[in-house]
Amino acid sequence: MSGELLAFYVLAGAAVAGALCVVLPPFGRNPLHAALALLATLACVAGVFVLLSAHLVAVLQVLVYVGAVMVLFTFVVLLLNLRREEFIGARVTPWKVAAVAATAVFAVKTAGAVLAASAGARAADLTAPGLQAYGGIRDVGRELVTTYLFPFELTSVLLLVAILGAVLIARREKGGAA
Amino acid sequence: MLGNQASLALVIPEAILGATVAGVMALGVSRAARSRGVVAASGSLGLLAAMAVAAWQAAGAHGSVAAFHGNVVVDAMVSLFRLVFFGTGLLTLWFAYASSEIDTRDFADMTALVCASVMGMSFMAAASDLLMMVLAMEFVGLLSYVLAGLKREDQRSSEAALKYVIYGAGASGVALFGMSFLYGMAGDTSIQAVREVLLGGAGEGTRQGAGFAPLGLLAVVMVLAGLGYKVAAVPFHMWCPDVYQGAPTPITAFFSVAPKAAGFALMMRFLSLLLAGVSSRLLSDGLMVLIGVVSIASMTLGNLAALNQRSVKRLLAYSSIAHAGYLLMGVATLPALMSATPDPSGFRAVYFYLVVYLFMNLGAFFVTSHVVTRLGSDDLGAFRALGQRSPLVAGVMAVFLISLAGLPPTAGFVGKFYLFWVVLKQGGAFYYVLAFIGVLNSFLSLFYYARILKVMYLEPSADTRPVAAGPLAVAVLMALGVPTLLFGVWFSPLLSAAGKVLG
Amino acid sequence: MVDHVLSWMTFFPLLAAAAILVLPGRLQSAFKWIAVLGAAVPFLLAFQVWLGFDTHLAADGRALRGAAPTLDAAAYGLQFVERAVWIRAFNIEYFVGVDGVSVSMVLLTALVSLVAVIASVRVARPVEPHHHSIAGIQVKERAYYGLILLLETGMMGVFVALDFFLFYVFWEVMLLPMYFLIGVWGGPRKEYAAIKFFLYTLLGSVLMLLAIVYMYIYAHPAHGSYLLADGSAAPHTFNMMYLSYHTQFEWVSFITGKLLWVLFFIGFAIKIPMFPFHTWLPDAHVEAPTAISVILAGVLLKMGTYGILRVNYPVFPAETLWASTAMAVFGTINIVYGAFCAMSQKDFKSLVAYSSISHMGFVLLGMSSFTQEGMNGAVLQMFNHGTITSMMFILVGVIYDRAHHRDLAGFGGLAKAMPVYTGFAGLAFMAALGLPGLSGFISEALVFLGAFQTHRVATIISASGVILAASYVLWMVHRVFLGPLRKEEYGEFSDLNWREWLSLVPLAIVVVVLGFYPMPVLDLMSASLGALRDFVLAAG
Repeated sequence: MSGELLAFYVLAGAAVAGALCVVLPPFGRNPLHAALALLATLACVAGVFVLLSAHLVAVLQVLVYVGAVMVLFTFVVLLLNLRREEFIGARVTPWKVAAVAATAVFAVKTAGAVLAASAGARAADLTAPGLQAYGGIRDVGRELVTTYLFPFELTSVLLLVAILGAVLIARREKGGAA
Repeated sequence: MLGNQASLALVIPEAILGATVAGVMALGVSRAARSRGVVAASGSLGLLAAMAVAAWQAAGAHGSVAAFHGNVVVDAMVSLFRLVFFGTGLLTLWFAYASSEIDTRDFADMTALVCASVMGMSFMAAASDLLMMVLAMEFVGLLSYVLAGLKREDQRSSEAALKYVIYGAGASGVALFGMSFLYGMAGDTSIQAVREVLLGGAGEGTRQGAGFAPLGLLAVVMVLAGLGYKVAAVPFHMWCPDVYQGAPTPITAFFSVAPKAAGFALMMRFLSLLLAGVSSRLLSDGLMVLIGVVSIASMTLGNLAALNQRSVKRLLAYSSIAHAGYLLMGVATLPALMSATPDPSGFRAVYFYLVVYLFMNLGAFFVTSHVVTRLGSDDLGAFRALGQRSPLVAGVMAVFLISLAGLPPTAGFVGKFYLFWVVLKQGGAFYYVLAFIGVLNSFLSLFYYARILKVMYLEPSADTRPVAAGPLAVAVLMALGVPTLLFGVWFSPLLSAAGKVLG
Repeated sequence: MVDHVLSWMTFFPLLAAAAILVLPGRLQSAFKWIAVLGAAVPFLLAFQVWLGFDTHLAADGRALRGAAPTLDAAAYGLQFVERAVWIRAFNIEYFVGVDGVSVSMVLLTALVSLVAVIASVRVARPVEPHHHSIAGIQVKERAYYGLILLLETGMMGVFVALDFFLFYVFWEVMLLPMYFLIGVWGGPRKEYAAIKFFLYTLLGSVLMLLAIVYMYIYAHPAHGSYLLADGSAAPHTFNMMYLSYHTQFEWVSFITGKLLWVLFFIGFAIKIPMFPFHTWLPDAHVEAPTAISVILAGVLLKMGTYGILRVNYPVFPAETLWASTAMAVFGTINIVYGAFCAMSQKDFKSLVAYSSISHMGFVLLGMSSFTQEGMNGAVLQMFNHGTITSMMFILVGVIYDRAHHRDLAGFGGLAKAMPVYTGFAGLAFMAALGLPGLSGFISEALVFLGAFQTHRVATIISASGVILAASYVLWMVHRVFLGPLRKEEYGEFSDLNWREWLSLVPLAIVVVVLGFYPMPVLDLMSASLGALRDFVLAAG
């Protein structure tokens, strides 16, 4: 097993473990702990991006999610001052058991399908000359303003109307109080 | 495949809507926003202009054009759905104008959101790239969440919005997960590229194509799950009754038609781009059974749940779940599209039914909105003796309900007939069972549609004062009711339009 | 002479209905006369059809079987044909015409509808007190006459349509007017009765729809190709004639001719109504206003048996032979069971309703015999039952208008107070029990003659139905008309008024004339029914 593969399994395993901690006790019962577990997951995913030579995305992942989004999450959690007991109880119900079972079946099926699909595939050589800079800021930037210019611009419209929506909801609170 | 600049002319209708959104937003902060008339007029103007351009472009265009480096496709189907979406948006605006449920302070913002939302929908119908699909879906989803929570000081409206957000996020996540598999298979976000992998044409020969089938099935199922949420098919329907009941009635009318049509447009676009000619038993049988079962579950559960509703909005919500089931019957003819000689008639029946559904379902919701505004409730009791109190409104409502139930001589009958026809045409026991259950469900649905008829005409009301209907209401009723009847006896033009879409 | 006479007969009532809908409310007093006009014109046109009908024309099924589809209507025994392409995408045509099987039904519909409209001239008034506001009455009268005319269009259309799609549209168009007519103007349990009628009938027709779509897709021309009205070839067809005579079906997986036969049969049997699908009928009749009962019993029930003759017999001849014993058995059950139920009724109207079930059993029995006498008797029985039952329901309505109840035990001695009424009643009820010299006798006798050759046991059991009919009718006459006056107030009942006269006399004339000389109606159907019988038997 190469070092790269080892690093991948460690990072991926940690990401999944972090995600589970978000929803499962004991971490899941405390909102702040859950937020921190999510932080770990996001950081690990950033690490996986690095392994894929997607450096720009890795940096953005850290900046946007680990930095901005998580700070906001933590802030909100602290602001609302949620207590442990207001959070979901951890009773085992038939529905939960069924959900876990369904998830397990789904995971096994997915794994099987992925293995079947990758059986004949050969891994892309990321050190090949054309691909070396791929995932860097220059290539992503070029794609963004050529092939994906249209979705990119559409996103800006989306942000605009999203702000409108946010304002509408926020104003509603004031209107409700008045 | 057109580049960015050359493609601009193809999205003029959407550009007009973008300008309308900006204009109405600007109006919203000015004094003019105090007058609903000004806002409604400018919104209508934008939507009408967009519709006119779309119709004009559709008349001149032939074939399909891949635009913006293959991110979107512009073809007859997009033209048809543009008209459906923009028309729904326009009518929603008028419903809202006449409704007491939308506060004047919110009216400008609501107008902007509706315009932006139908713009996103038209991109859903046009998306031919995974990235574009996600973007368009999220675009529409995000705006829907806000629209659902529009009703001021109403706990239920807020709860509906929250439910919508949470379910929506879950569904998007699943769809995105599925798309990531598709991307991984092809290394490209273009749906066409994924299809080539499934065909076995790309990569390392046919063996690889076959090896990808299980993963492809899994991924498509996950994407369909996300779209199932948009069209409110069982088991992704849980949000639907609450959101429909909680949202202001005009918005509910909008939700019941536009996102559903957009979901179906995207579903059929995605399936036909991805699977046309892909002759994989696993994929075709798997998807046929899966979509068929979801269809059966949707219509049966939707109809059964509708039987005992007292709230007409909730009743129509369940009826719309059932209608998603009927429409999915047409989508279940997918294997015909995947054969060596692709036969798109199943999808054509869905287009046809969606257009018909627009008229009858919007109509039913408009009458409900009218009753809510005039009588203050959407309870069945509010409809008592409407036949005497407002003969015109009740009469047109009867036409809508008969059409929803699928009885001749209304458009709903022709639509259902077309759907059953394409299903039976496929041959095979599975399709016969599907059609049989569909017919039984049609029958079942009559129980609750007839209940509204019964309340309107047979039950006396303590209050016998006439319920007035203004000129705008009459105009909208006629605009929706006349086609519902007309397409029932004279549907050749609509058929040929639906035929052109995939012809 | 009018061109396009069948279209005029079908759509004139619709035009009249539209006129009533758009006229301003101050002309309210004219609505009923427009309605009478709307029903009278088809009645007059019916004479043209009757006189102009060539009784010798019939389809030679066996010759047609080996030939390619043609546009020649006469080859199929059709007359007064109108044909045009309606929706090309689905090869749907506007195709109407009559042959011997349908022409008598068209005449019956025209007659019964006119009688029903006349009988309702005064009835269309609100029942509940709070509807006495001016607006309420206006809406109600308008709606009542509009719906009854719409109903006539639907019924007429069913009998003249020769394209399955058109047939289905008319079949369903009839449903909703009936639902409202029972539901709004009916008796105390009208809502229950209306919805029961509606759902029962609809269940049958949705099953039929599936069968129709299946036939459309999997029917292939045995020779040549299907032709549309303008001569262009069509791969699929809804044309009833083509599907009957020129078609080979492709059976896919578990679908067989027998299954389709059963689907159609259930759809029609609900309308007849055949045991065990009959339970909607007594409810609907008891709750419906008089004129609606008249239409229901007079015309609607015949659609069931007509449909079997029009669809099941020629399209699935072999399957029809397969099921003939079952049909005879069900016919017998209807006759005996209906008669026993009629005997135990306390309500005048439900007695007549159950007698309808019994009499429609004769039609089934006669049809299943595949003899010339039996089949002629069956269709003649359809016609006669239409006129006789209409009379009976009008008579029940007359007494209900005066006494405001229908309790058989509560009457007595009405013969003294209302001699003319009693005369008409005697005529109608004697015709119903099959007294020789009145029309009911001839058709029942023909049915027995025909059925005895094929289904001996069933016919013998059915014959008891006549005895049962005699007992329930005579017992009823005894309780209602004979003996001393049960109540003082009955002595002051006025005899028939002009409206009741006008609605009873035409029916009475038909009943008496056909009792002596049934040939005017028998001649119409005999050639076509003979051809149909030969065609079905040839498949055995």
